[in-house]
Amino acid sequence: MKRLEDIENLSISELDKIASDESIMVPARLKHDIAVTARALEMASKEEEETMDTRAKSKRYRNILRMISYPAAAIAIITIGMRLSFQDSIPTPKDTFDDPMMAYVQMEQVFGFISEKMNTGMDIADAAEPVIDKTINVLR
Amino acid sequence: MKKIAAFVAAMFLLTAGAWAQDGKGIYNKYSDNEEVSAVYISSSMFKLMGNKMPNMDLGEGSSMNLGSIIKNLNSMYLLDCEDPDLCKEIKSDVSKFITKYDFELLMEIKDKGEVVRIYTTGNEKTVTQFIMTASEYDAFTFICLDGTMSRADLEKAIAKATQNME
Repeated sequence: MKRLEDIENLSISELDKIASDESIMVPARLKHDIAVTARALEMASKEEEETMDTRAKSKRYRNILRMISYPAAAIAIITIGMRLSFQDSIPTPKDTFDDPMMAYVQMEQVFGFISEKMNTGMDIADAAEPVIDKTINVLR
Repeated sequence: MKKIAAFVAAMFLLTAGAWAQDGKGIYNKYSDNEEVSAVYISSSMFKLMGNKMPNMDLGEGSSMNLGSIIKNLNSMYLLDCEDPDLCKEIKSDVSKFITKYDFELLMEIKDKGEVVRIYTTGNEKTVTQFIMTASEYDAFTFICLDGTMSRADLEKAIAKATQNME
């Protein structure tokens, strides 16, 4: 069997001569083996392309995520910071009254005002009671 | 850079807007206005009042001790406005406040052009905030009681006051 170096050392005419020698039998499965090898190579290159594509896509997604996550984190930090600083900086109002008695009188008025308004509501409800009773009786 | 500045300004305005949406914020926003009468009572003052005050006069010679309610109050904000444009603005802020904190409408009274609404937050036993708004075309009153009040005590106090006014 010839070695690779021997083949490399052959001249073109010698190679032609060997190629045209029909006495040398070509193995029966050679064509099939070449076809299988070619298909395997094709599939391998396709797979490699797909892997490259996936890698490129995931890199793109990672970049997009990075692009979104940094501003999102910045927004969150700014919002929380501002909210906290605002909460801290809301000035507590000064008491309107220095004298607790005066404040108590004001509270009396506030409760009186609330009661007065609720009383108006009760009056309206009381006035509607006979109508409601009549309606209930009719329905019965 | 301009975009960043615009964004920060927008966030600032949003946060500032949110700040105005509670009793304290609304009070701070409008209490200095000349068209508004404003009253604020702090928790320290409530503690002083709760310890030392006599029974509260509820009219018609009746009285009751509101010490237990008052002692647990943190603050009371009252705004009374008679400027139609300003009233609209306060109403809008109060409405945002009520929506934001999920207040429950306890009572609504419509009488002769006046609309009174009472809202509370808390649970079955405790009221943590009590709001009353009285709104007419050209006048608006906002009362906000903030603290931990027993719902039963508060209802009793208001019911008693209502009875005594009859």
